Amino acid sequence: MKEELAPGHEAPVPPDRPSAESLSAAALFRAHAPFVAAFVVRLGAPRESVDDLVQEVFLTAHRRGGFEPGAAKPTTWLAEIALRVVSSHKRTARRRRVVADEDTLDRAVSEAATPHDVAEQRDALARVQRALDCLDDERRAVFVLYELMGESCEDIAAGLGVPIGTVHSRLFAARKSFQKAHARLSAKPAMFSLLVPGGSL
Amino acid sequence: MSRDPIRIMDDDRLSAELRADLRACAGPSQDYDVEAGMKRLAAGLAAGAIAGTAAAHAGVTSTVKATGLSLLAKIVGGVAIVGAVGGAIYVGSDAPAPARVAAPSAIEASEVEAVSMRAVASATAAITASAVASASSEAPTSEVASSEASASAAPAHPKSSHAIASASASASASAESSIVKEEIAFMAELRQKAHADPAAAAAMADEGQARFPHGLFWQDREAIAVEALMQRGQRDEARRRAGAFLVRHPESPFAERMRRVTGAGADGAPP
Repeated sequence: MKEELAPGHEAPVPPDRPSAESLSAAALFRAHAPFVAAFVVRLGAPRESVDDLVQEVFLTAHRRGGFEPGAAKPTTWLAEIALRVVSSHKRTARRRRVVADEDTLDRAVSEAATPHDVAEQRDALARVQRALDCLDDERRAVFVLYELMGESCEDIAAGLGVPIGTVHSRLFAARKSFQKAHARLSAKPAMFSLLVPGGSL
Repeated sequence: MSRDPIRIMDDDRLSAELRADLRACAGPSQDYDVEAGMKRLAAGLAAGAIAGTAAAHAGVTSTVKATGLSLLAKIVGGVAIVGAVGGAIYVGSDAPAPARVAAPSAIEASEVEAVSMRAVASATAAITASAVASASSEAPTSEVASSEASASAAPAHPKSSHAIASASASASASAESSIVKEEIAFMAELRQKAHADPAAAAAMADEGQARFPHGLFWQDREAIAVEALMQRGQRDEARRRAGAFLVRHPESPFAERMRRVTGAGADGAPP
């Protein structure tokens, strides 16, 4: 459909433009980079790789032709790319997920909190991160998107390109494993104080 | 329509600690440095087109590996990998070179200016990639690159058709990267003008739409034009253009800004 414009006024978008409906890479990045950053962290990316992985996600998104409004939301569409990028990174980099996340935990703690709050929040982040480590990437992605990022199962299904039944089953299995792991970790609070570095936040 | 289960953090039947822990981790990152990320992305996109050119021209996989060149080299290396895949698309397809394969997208012009040195450095590094690759002096090739680009790369026995396609892709990508750099510079100037001289910015934004009809910065330019028109009192014109933009792109990240600036409704209709 071509848009009629007033005579003498330059068309903002050429009618033959193939990417007229796509979001620009910069606009997409500005709107969703924090989402992607949180998502890759929750998928278990080590701190030193987060920036690189976020870049890789958006470069891949750009190479795919950018986001086109459709069934998927930008967030879940990016999540699908991020899942692939992080999974590939994990396979090739052979990172040590557990210990490598300490700095990420430090960085993720709110600066505005009191020292006591900070300690509690850091423990919370550590528990969640370690419980997430018990999940495989596919279940972990669904769990994170649903439980932490607030996406609906329908949007997750559209973004990841899987049936909604698959999302439900992955979520169900992930919840079961996560809660079990979290309960186990919560029973050992001392473990986290040992893991958390004593330095400044 | 599916019925989603209640989220753990909202389910008061579950342990308070579990819910509190999840709540502490919920949502987007609060401390991700978007501005720094934008600069890296700008550099990566600007370098990407040229890195793709270098890889295609050399007929080898990407060899710009991040060896001691810190962040910048990582960007170029990462983009070069993608560029190599792009090269594979060029070589392996009979279709005309897709305009979007090597094209960067919109970058905030102020950021473009800030990263111009890095982008140029990246481009320079990428341009030399073919020489580096040919010399094979630093042979280590990314695993990803070698696996993904092997389909197109024919370093030992380049077939003539591949060589022609490669050269064609190289020329196409090179021309495109040149346009990209030109557009990046244009956007940097436009962004400066938007702050200093709204009247001139509106005219320049229109000039940019005509000058780069297939560029990917058009959303940025249109947003600048609308704001500039509002600032110089051409409210009806600004709202008309914002309305047209919002009809086309209701979900654009610029949409909310357009609505706010012009006071348009959610559907782009005037207030």
